[in-house]
Amino acid sequence: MTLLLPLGLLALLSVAVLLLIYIIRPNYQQKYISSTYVWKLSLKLKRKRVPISKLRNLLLILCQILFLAACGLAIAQPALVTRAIVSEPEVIAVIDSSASMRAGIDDETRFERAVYGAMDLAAETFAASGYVTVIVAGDAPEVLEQRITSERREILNEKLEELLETDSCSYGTADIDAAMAKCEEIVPDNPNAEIYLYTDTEYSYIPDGVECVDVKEEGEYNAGILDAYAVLEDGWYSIYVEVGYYGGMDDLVTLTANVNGAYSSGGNGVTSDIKLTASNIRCFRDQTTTIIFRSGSEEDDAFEDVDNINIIQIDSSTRFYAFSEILLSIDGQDAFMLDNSFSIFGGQRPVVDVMYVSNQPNTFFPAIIAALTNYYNDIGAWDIVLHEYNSSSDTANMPVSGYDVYIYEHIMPSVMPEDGVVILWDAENEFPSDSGLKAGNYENYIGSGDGGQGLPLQAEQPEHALLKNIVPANITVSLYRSLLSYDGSYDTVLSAGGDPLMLVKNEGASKVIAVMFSVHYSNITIRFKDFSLLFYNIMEYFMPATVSGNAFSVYESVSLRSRGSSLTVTGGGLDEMGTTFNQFPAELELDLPGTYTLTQVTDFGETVVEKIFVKIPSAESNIARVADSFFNPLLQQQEYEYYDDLILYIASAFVALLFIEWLLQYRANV
Amino acid sequence: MKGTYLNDKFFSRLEALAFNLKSNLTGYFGGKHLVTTYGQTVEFADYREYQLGDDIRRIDWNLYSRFEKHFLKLFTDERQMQVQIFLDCSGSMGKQNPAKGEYAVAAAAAIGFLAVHNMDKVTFNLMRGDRAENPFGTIVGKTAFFRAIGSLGEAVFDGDTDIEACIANCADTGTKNGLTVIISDFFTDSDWKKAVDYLLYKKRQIMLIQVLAPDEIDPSYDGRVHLIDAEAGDISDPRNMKIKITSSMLKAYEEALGGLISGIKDYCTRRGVDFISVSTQAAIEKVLFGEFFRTGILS
Repeated sequence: MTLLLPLGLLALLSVAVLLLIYIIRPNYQQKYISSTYVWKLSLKLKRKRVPISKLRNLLLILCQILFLAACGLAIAQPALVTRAIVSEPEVIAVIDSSASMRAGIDDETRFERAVYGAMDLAAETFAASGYVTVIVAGDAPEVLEQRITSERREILNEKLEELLETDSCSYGTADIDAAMAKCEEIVPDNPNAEIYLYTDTEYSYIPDGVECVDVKEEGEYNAGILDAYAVLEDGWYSIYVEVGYYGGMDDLVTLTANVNGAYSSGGNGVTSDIKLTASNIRCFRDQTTTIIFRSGSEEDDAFEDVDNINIIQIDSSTRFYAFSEILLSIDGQDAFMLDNSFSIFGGQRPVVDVMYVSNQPNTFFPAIIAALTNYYNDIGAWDIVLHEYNSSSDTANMPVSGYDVYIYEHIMPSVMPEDGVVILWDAENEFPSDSGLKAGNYENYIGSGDGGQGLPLQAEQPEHALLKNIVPANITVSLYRSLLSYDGSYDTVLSAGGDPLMLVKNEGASKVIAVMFSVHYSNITIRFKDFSLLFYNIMEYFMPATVSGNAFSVYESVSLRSRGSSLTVTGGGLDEMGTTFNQFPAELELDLPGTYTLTQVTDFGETVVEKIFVKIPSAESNIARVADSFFNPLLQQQEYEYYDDLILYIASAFVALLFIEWLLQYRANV
Repeated sequence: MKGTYLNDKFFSRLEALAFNLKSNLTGYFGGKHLVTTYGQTVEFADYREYQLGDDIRRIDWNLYSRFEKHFLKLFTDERQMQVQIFLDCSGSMGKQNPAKGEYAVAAAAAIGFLAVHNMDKVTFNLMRGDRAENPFGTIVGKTAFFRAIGSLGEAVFDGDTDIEACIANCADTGTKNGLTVIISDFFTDSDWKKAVDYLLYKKRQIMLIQVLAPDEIDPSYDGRVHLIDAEAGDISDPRNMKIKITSSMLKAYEEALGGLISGIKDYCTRRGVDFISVSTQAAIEKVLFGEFFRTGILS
């Protein structure tokens, strides 16, 4: 039942008025009599004679409330909504387009079988003058055609043919729940609609109204590499490979690892290619097996009691400490080829040479470089090598080229290096003539009102990347050198008392940071967190890592950064020319599995080539997957709505209540 | 309360009346009431044979001469009656309706006058609470009666009355020596029937007089009424009641009142007790010369 005029329900407020009247109606008139004895007798007599009289008043008020409620309902115009039911047959074909649907034998994939099944289903439905909807369930559901009849059957067939021709099956997972929700949206009104899910997943529970069509074939099995990584153990790389085996019977699998560009123990610093083979490894159905190409000690019994682990010891002459690429592959022809190969990159981290020059050397700079070295080693981004020049002979001949980062403390070079980031910290003498900086006098500040705490620094550009997570006001200085002048290419990042104390320049190959105070006259090094963050920010600002790893999943979005002005990505699903990015950070969508090559020319003219591997989701290797259930689409029974006016019934109730109320009033007054 | 009935004209009309008793009297004092025993009056009653011990002076020698047997000549006896009047002085008898109280007092006075006029003793017991007060003592003679009547007219009707307790607690209810009159409206939860049974046990002749006001016989009010009982202590007293008086309610009232009266009447009939139910609207003379004669208690 629905109300055509819901505001009419406001008339129900009259019920409240009625109750109010009952509450505040006049009191009984007082009457003094000799005795109420006979009245009580008569009351007992009357009650005995009419036992329901107690209920009369209750019935009366109930009747009056119902009467007013009926009035309110009548004003609100109640109506019954009746719905017409669609009698024509209707089907919705949902085609699972997850990566596992690419599995197949006899040159026919599961996806193709699903499409053919949908075609047959559509043909049958069209023959019965029904409606057909086709949804391709990928990462997001795509409605191919919606509730079409046989008049548009050709269009549907063309689109299904196109699915087959254009290799439309995805490389990722399929969101069946979202596809079912889409079904619910499309045909909410037809209770006769049947949903056919063409999938290779077996579901323990299938909701009513849905029929699962299994597109697997007898004899399909898959041995795939689920994950792989290389780990440095005692200075030599070991390769860990996780192999999954699904469908079919237990079988023997051979895994080959081709290590390209390897620096092996017997290579004398010359790269070579190494081939490692794990032959006839027994894999069990629906289980994963770990294969380890191991360089470490043979006596290590850490894996002795672990099931499904096979250790292949790498010969001492072929073990390697660096590599450019490890290509893993499983021999044989199974039903699903996408996971038969896997590439590991990142075996050769780029080296960053850092030079530190000081005539009054301290431990703060070497310590912070050591901390950064550990950090970047851990994440596999850089190998940082520190070179210190501290003696007087060193400082006299300090180099101005050949390093990636130059740190000059107190003593300044005569000319600016041009092939790296230059940090000029507390220049005691003059700045290099080509630096664009001219130093002034030392300014001594002794705080008077703050117990000699020094002058706090002030952020001139609080949002600058160098100040990320740093609170400048916590850093104080008591002695600094003012600047007489600096050219406009410098940006002032920090200042104190109106004097610039940290300037930064980032123009092409000219990347300079100038700091105008000594660590001996500041608390910055005591506040080690701020000092660490400052150097971390310098590295991330001037030398950002291109990507955050070497292996990703398909359909993942990767953030790219460059140390130059552009970055070109080739491989994967991109064309031969690849895609060039000029704005950073840039987002790269990894639409296809495989190897992507990232090429960039840094601002210092160095060409850097990096590779990443994009794999399909590990779960998709399981081509005999079993799942619990999926979203239950509720098909509501509604097509057309008719409103049957209920005013007649309300009026009848109105009259009946009026009569009953009159009757009760009459009986009460008799 | 100042009586409107108690005047010379009223009492003068009663002088020709006398009580008739249905039972024998006992006692020492002579009066005007003939009893079944033989006494010393001059009125001949019967003969009986002489028995040893009889007073030889009462032998009828004329009969001896005819029958040569000794017969005694017997004479009737007359005793004085004690009339006890129990007057209900509860609030329902006159607090809200003074005429009802006056009527009850007049009835009591009339009975009292009849008693003293016939040389009987009379006692006025005013029932209040669970005690029966006897403020005038035993009245003999008209002088004492009229003195008492003057005070009886000032009687106050208030509070409630337990008739059973009042009579049970009465120090002198008398035994086989007269008439007990209970004047009340009998609108009470008190078990007055026990009191009547007690008096019957004491071989008293009993008469119940129910006095009702016209409003009590036929209520003249209707609608939503909060009835305040004259005996109620305050407004929240459970004897008060809120009621919607409709025609059906009035009918039920009529039936209830009729049932109450007929119940009393049935009870009295079974026990040989006289019962009169009167309305204050009726002239008291009509009651005295109508109802009292009808019951046979007056002649």
